[in-house]
Amino acid sequence: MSGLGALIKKEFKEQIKTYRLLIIAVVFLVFGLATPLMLKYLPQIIKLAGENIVIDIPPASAVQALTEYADTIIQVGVLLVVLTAMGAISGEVYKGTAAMVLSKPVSRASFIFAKLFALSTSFIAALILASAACYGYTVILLGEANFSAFMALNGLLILFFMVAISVTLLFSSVFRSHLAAGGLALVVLIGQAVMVNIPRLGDYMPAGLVSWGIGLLSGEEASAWGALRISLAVIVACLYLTWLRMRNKEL
Amino acid sequence: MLAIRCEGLTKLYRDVVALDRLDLVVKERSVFGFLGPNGAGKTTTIKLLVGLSTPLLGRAWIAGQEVSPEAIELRNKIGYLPEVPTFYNWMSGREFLFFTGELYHLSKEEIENRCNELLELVELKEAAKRKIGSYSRGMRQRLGIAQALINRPEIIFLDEPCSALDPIGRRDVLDLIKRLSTDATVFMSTHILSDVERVCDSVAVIDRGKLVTTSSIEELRRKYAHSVFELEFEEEPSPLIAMFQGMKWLTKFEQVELDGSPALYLWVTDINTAKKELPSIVAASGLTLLRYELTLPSLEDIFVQLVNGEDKI
Repeated sequence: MSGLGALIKKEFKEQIKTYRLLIIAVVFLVFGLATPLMLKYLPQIIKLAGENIVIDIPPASAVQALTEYADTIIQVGVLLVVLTAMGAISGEVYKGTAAMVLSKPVSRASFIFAKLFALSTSFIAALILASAACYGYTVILLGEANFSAFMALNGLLILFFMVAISVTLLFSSVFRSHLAAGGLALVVLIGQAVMVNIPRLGDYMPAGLVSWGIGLLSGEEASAWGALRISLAVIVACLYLTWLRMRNKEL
Repeated sequence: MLAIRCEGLTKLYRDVVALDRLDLVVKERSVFGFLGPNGAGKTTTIKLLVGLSTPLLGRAWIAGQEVSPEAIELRNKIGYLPEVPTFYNWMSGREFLFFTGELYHLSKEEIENRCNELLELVELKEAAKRKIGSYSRGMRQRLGIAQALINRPEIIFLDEPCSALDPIGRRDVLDLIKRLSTDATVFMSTHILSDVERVCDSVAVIDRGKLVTTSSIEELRRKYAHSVFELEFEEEPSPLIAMFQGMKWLTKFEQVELDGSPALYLWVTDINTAKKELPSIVAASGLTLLRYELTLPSLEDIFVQLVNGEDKI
């Protein structure tokens, strides 16, 4: 893959100089910190809000905080993935920078892989930051939690984000418009999340990875290897289709 | 040796023929002008030659190697300036040049040296650290030229290289192009004929995707340039027109009025015979001659003549 190193370096520089990496990291960190804090102090917050309201809230548990974190981070994360990746290819093709770069000794596969690698790394870094903050605060505020299960959950979240990035990059190579690419990627990602509830079929949806990870936190034995295999297959298929699309693209 | 060779290059955009069986050869170490009106197929040809686009039919070779989007190694020999160069606006001019050097796998030291040389050459040294987003169109064009030269290419494709430049910038770029031809082949598309006359060794004229002609500038003049005599009289030149019958050196004539005086434009093929015979014919006609002038057509006249289909090969 010719030119890959230079392209990856450029992608990282772009993430830093355009503040994308900072924004992703800050948003993830805020949600990572806020989830255990909110759960711990929710009863006090409600008490402060109304004098005569009596709501009986059971004390929050560490598992509950980590589950809440996973639910929130996946929703916010998918939105951020779509927003950052939807113009990654279409924007460069439309503006002409893709033609400028691809007239050099650079393969189209390198051009795509550099984007996937840089975006994935940024989201992994942000997720590590958020998960460390969330786990630390959870332990401090709500007590011990199953660390290895939480690590496994984060590993599954990373895989899900890579699915989201690959799907968005594919649509970004197909459409000229960022909005069309982003909109369609969101439809697909939300669609498969809805389908998770369909018996049998749901076991193979990438969103099943998140349910699996959350289940591990509560000590459930159920696994979703089917969802994992399909997720890996979706990443490979999306990259292949993106490459096919780019290979035939007139620049 | 040939720097560029195309055989039957054909490109269609939906049902529009952008390029129609283009055959072309460009010699090494020359400046080749690719001329044509807007929409003639100049940019399409360059994109095919640098591997950014694929032809429907036909093949092309650069430095003996066949061109295709997969021929990545070949691009080490090529420099390319697009019609409207675009950059990453968040980068500085220097950063972009450095990035381009990395894409060509140059060493860090080599890139540093080349960046300094090129920034000096295109007069962007002072603006080198400024973000490209703040550059003017002319500065972007000059940065585009610099990035096309970073790898010391054997063949340089310049798509309208002077289009955004002021007269001084244009002169400098044309001088640079002329200098480059000592070590490299320059293939430049343009519709500015004075630029072609100034730097090009040979040209190809393309119109509506079809090659109209290709030759050296001198040959083009010799082949297509019909000298024109302008004769201005005090009275109607009808007696003279009658005497033109049977003059083989006369291609055509046109009667016009110049500042109220009747005049004749005479297009001739054999200039020497015309020079000898025309004064005596005018004298024999008895007309009062006010002005007698021989004009040589410019490349612009030839271009218009060729594109209008008056004299296709």
